[in-house]
Amino acid sequence: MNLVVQRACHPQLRDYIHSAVFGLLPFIQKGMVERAAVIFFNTDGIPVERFVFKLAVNQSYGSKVEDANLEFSLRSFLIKLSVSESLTKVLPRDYRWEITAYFRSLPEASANKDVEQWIPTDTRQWEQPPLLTPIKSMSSEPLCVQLYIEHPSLSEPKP
Amino acid sequence: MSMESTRSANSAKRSFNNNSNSASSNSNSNPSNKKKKTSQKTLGVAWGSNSRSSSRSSFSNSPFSNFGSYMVEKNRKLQNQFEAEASTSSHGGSGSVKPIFDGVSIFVDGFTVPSSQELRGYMLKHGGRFENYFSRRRVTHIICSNLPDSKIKNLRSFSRGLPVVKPTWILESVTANKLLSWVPYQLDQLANNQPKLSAFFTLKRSSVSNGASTHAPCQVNPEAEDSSLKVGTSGDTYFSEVSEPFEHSKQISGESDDLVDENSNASLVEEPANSSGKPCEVAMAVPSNIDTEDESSVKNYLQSNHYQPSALVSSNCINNQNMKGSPSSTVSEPSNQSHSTLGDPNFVENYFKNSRLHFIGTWRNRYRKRFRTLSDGFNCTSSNIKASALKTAIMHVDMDCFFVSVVIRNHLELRDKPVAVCHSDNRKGTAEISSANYPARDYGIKAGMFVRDAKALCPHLVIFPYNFEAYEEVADQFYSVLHKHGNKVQAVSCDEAFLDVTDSEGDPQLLASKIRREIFETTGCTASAGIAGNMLMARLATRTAKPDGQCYIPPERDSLQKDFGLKTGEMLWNYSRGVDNRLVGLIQESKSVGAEVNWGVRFKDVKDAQNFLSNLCKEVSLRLQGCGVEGRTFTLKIKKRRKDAEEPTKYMGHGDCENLSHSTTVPVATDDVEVLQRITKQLFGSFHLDVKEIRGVGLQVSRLESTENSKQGLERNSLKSWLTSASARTEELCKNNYVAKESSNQGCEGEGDETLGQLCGNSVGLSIQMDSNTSNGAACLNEVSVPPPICHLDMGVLKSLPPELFSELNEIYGGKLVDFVAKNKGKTENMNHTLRAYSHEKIEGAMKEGQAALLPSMVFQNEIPVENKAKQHIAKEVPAVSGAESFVPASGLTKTDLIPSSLSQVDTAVLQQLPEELKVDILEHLPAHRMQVFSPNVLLYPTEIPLEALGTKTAENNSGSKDFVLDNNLWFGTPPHWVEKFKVSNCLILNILAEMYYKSGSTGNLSPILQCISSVSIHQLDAFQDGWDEAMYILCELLKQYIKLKIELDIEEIYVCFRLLRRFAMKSEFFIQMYNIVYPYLQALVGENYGGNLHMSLKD
Repeated sequence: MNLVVQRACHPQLRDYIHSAVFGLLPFIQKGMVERAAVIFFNTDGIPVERFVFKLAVNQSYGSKVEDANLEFSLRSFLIKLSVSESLTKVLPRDYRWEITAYFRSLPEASANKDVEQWIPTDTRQWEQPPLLTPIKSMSSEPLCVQLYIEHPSLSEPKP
Repeated sequence: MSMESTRSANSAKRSFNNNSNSASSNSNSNPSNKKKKTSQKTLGVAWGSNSRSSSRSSFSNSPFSNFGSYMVEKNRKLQNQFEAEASTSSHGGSGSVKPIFDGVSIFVDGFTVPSSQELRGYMLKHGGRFENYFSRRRVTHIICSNLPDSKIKNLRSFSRGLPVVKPTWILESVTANKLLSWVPYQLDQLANNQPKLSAFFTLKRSSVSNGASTHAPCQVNPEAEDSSLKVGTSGDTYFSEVSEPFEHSKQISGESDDLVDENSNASLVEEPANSSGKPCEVAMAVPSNIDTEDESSVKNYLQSNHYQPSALVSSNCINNQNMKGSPSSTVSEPSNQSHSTLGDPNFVENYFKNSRLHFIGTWRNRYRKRFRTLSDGFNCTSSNIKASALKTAIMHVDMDCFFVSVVIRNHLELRDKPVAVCHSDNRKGTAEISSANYPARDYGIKAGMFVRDAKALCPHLVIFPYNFEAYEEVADQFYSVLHKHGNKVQAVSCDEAFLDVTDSEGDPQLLASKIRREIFETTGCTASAGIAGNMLMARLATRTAKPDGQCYIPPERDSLQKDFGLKTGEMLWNYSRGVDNRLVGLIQESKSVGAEVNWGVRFKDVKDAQNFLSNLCKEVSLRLQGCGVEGRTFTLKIKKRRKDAEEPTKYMGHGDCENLSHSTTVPVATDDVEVLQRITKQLFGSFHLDVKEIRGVGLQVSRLESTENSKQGLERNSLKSWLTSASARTEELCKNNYVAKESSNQGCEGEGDETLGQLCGNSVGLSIQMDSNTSNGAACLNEVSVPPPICHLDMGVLKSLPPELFSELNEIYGGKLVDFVAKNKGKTENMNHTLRAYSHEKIEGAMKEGQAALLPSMVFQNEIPVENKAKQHIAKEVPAVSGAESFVPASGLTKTDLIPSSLSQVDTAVLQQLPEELKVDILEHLPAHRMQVFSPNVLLYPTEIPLEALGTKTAENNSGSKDFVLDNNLWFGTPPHWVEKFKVSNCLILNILAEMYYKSGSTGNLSPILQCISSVSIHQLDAFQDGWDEAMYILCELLKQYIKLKIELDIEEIYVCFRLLRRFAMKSEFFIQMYNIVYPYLQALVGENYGGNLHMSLKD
């Protein structure tokens, strides 16, 4: 796609990201995944920043996918992602992060082996609706992805 | 023994039967009783196998279940009998000496002298086997004296690849007390009737396969197969066989004798020189054969029987000795041959004549010794030249009349005198001149001329004898110089060499003169050089260069390409050599796409011309899209009337014109209309023409790039694969989706095929096949991302939709779908529903107070695209739709034409999907309508007003369409409805917005528009008082609808818009108010959709 994409240089980290994203794939294909989020949280499990990818896959698309449009959209998406750093704050060192997928309906564990890779998260939720900062929306048929950052609301009780 | 083998024996027998009948009839005359008995048996078998029914009856009482088992039993008994006899009558039964016929098993076919019984006796005595019945597996030789014609013709099925030998072979072998090669004893008939090479191949192959499966003596056939693998394997077996010095090798020898005998003729024809008599060297011949096999060179069939050293008697053996070595290897080493020729002791007789040649011949060895290290690269040089003939530079250096100039190099006074070299200068003058210098040549003196004749031509000709030491010295110096300048030197002769100067730096011509100068300085002799792309040309160049000169032949291709351009030069070069690399069947990629109009072009003013150009661009853009290409170079051609030209005789023709053209190249290929228009305008401007003079305009796009290619990325597959996993529930819709794919669809009509139906697409990827009753299946697609009007929906499809899809659709139509369905259930209710819908709309309309004046015009605008209906249906509409009066005038604008007026109205995507015949049909019809592009009718709507819904409609559909029309979403359409509405508004801010819409590039997104607004002074925006509320209301409405439209999929766009609005709000009272109204609505919707609030940072 003629684009520089950054990736983790630690092999295990890379594997984790890779397997997580690929584990999502079958569910995205089925249209079960509504959102996928990268959540940064502190040692107490309280999230401080969430990068949310809101997905909408139009499944009625057959083989007729306009590559050019899609590619263009994806490229602009990724470019925007790489320059979105200014929207974020520098996080302390001991923070952790995870990849969380929000399903429209919980998949049956027995149905698929892929499901077993996913465990319920114990990350805590915010009590107040978060503040959204949209980064990029692409609405190329048949794939629409929106990326926005969620930060805790200003009225959110501080830990 | 298994049944199968018996049967095969049987069938083999059967093939024999006819013959053996005749043969046995002959043998009946044989006085031998025993023989008679055998032949009777043969007869019996023949009879039995020929008439099954009788055989069955005759054997019905026998203990044998069938004929096959009978034969098995009989064969077994005969074998036992034979073995018993053999053990008693074995000649010198001691096992110390191997019997002659060990491993040989004969089958006697027909009448022989001696009789078959006598032969049987010999076999008994000498350890052979005698088969009463032919079996491919047990018999090794067929013995017969005479064969009927049918068997000769069909030798293969008769003999099964086994040798057919005369009985004398047995007798003579017994006499010689050793097994002789059977080849000389081959049946005469067969020898005359030599099989063709091809037949021979198949024969051998089968014999190999047979031999492998049986235990019978292996026949290792030096395979004459062209496959080297086969040769290799056979070679292997051959070695293993050779290592076993027992009778199998005899068999082999027999086989290969045959082989050689057959092949030697063929090879003799090919290589007559090769067959010249050589002393028979058996010992030598064996390794040479092995070599040939190992090399598996092309012609390995030249296999001889040399590995049978004991075959002293065999006369053939000697004949075949010469057939060693493959012809190719002989050819490949001419030097050896010449050397060996010179090595012939006869050369002494012509010592002086040959001595020069001898010098040249032996010189090479000396050269090799001297430049051994250097000549390593020599072989690869020659191959390299062959391999890369592209940009090579070969230099050929040849000393000028070497033999003379070397001799006279120390006689400066003779330099310009005619001199010749000859072995003797005696008075008779019958010696031949071997070389003459150029002054001598001027007199007509040539090499090979008698001295006498030469002197007659040139009385003062000086004749020198050879000076071989000097030659050697000069030759060595010559090569020293050459090797100094190039490491790839191929010596041709003592005075002639090739250099590959491809890699050397600098101009090869300079190098050549340098080499020549050095040669002259060191040797005192001149040399000529030729430089060209290959050795042949270099040599020819030298010929031109001589004497003492050099010649460079540049590659013709280059000079051609210099004169005619790269491609054409190459083509000419190739064609002149009969080279044409074009492939059949590949469609020639079009080099350029364009459109040209040179009839009827008359412009009144610049605006006319610009209009025309933009339409032309549209056309070209669509042609590009139709071809699936994008171009980089744009050429605008103008036909300009000559000053003195009169009005052309052809009406509206272009007459006498000057042809002008300008072109420009852009870095990125495009097929975009706007880019085209911009470029074209620039180009047009660069002509500085009076538009009235223009008689023709053409736009051509070249340097085409395939759109497909540019789209194909690496991730194509991966992306596609998971995006295209279409679920089953949408399957029925998918078949139509290709039509709906594009977000901005244009109307397209496929004419002529009723079954095509009416296709209707919308933005959500739904497309519903219209079960239309129109005779011309007109496909209508909505211009923008608007769901098709309800009226276009087919009831059949709607009803069969899954409930969730239906509800989704229903949502899109704002709940009217249910109404629609219900409406269609009862036709009687039709009117009521329509009326209800109208009343509903009217209430809505009333709500928008202050807009009352706007509404009709807006509706009118909306109507034009939608209501372009065939006139004949207006009558039907009126009764069906109560409120349709206002739309009737709009219908007046319609066209009855079903064909789009230009390609520009054809959706290329659809066009590409159409079947080939249809496409052609459409394209054929289009030119007839092409003129309409330039008709004022179309020019009235420079913006893209969809000419949709041209299809005929039924009354019930029309009633439904009103619902859609009055559901006037501000953001529907291209341009969105609000643009038109705002344009005609009397409110400044709205006017600005509408204006900005066009200015921002008509993308349909709000943020570019707002950005444009931010560039104008915001304070202006507050500078109005009239209709503040009205403007506020409609703008808020606009924003709300926009939010609604985008909230699902493009929160970013909304975010950008609101940040801009927020910025405006800091300066403008109007925007503050608006922002405050819309902001809560926005946050509510965001919260609903995303579970959070948009973070409108206060930084800006």
